[in-house]
Amino acid sequence: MSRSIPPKADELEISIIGPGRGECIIVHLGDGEWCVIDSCNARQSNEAVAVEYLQSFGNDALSKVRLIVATHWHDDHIRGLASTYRQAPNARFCCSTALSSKEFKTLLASAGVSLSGRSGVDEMLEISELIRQRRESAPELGPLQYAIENRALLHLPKPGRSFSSSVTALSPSDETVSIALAQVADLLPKVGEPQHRIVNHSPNHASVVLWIEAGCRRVLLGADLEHTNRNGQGWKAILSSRQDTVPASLFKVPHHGSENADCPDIWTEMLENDPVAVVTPFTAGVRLPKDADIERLAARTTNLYRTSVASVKPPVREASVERKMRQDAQERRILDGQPGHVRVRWSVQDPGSMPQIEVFNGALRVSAASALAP
Amino acid sequence: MPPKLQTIFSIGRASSEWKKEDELMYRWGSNTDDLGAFQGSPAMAHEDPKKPPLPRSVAIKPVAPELTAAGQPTLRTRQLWEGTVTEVRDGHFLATLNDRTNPQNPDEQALFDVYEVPQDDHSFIKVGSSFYWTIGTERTPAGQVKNISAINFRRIPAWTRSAVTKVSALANHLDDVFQSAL
Repeated sequence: MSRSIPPKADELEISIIGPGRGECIIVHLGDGEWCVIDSCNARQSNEAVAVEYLQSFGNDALSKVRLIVATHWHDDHIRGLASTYRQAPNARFCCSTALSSKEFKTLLASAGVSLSGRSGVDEMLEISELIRQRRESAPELGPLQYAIENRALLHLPKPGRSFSSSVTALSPSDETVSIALAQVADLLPKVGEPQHRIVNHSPNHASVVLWIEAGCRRVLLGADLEHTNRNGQGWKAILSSRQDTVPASLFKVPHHGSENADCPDIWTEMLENDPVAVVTPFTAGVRLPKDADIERLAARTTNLYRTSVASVKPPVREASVERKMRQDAQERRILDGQPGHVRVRWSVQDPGSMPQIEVFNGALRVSAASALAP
Repeated sequence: MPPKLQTIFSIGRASSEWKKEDELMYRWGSNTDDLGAFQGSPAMAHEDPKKPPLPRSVAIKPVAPELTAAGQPTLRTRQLWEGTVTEVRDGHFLATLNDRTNPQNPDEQALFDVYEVPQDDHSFIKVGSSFYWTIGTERTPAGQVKNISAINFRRIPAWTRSAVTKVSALANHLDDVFQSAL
């Protein structure tokens, strides 16, 4: 089916798009209403992939985006999110409650003052300006919402709709919020210290994991949440506090399939047997998923997909420039590849219906046999 | 090991027209084709002792090298990246590179040996610090043309008390915005 054909009113759609650094999830909640989670940009146009995709339907889908969620503020998850929010006038913006702190506001403010630019914080600063404008132009919308474990972010009840839908945050837990605040405090500007860009390597314990209920279907979107042995943190906190016991049919594998984010109990307690699982690769720094990660995931489901392959052709440059580059820089790697797209559509009226799964722009299904293919 | 790269950093920074970081960014961001003249010592003309001397009867017509107005070498930038250090380890640093010559190109990541950076700049090699990596062609006043590659760390001033105060005031404003938007 063509990529630009919109879903039917009674279809749930989960579109997961990843170019190799960053990801964006676009969810059709029925009757033309949408939710966008995180963002990355298209390679050619440099526009947010959610904007491009929803515009391709030609039915003003952007005006029916109800919720935009930033699972966390790392650069690779929010590039283009301000553009998406700007072009979705009826959307509410949601981010982790860890970002409600004065410390985080100070971090945002530092992006406005710093000469160096502050990476992902710059995008959040732009969003804060849009929130300010929207508060004045559409105060009834309530433009901002904070996510914390088991908070309902959006509820679209069935009367008048094809099916009821809801989006609920499963994280962060109270304990992880306090850890995140301490991490942010370390990044705040201090007199005499250099104005460096923020390069965040901290664990993603304060990511917003989302649970979507759409008719009879459940979807678990794992953000970048990592696994830890502490009960009040990471996936353990979710396992102990979750309220819906219906297993999910689709799982967005957390943190690009890394071993750090792997919690085996999720697969047995929160997911259907042999669920659709989608992993988004990460090509900056340590490449994820590693071969061992793919093998581990492929052993758990036969329906494993990845949004893009890791290797991308470098741009063509003058031969002499290329020669000089090869002399001086080692291990060069393209970070932003083709934004591969895995699209899953279900009719939610029939619990026994099979999903329609399509791949675009280099996304692929990972079978057990091809688990180690590049 | 000596630095493999020629640096234009200290030379370029000494020029009065590049005093401000913002101006530097503007110039490089807006026009990377010709960054103008910079200070440098003229290339020495070397004679090959193995070659036989020319007979006296041969007239040698002097050819004046093409000089800039200031009589200084010129640099034509052919490729410029803005880099951010993301990791420092074992005498190397990893950086993300944003192509400033062709902004539509995807970001790249590359590993550099710290010896690619002049010794004086080693203290700048820290996670989060920014640099420019220039590949270009230098034409000396004598007309010699050579390819150069230079990594040039940005000297961004440290946080000052007044800047931190500004940050604090802006943070209060943002806090009000967020509170009222809930």
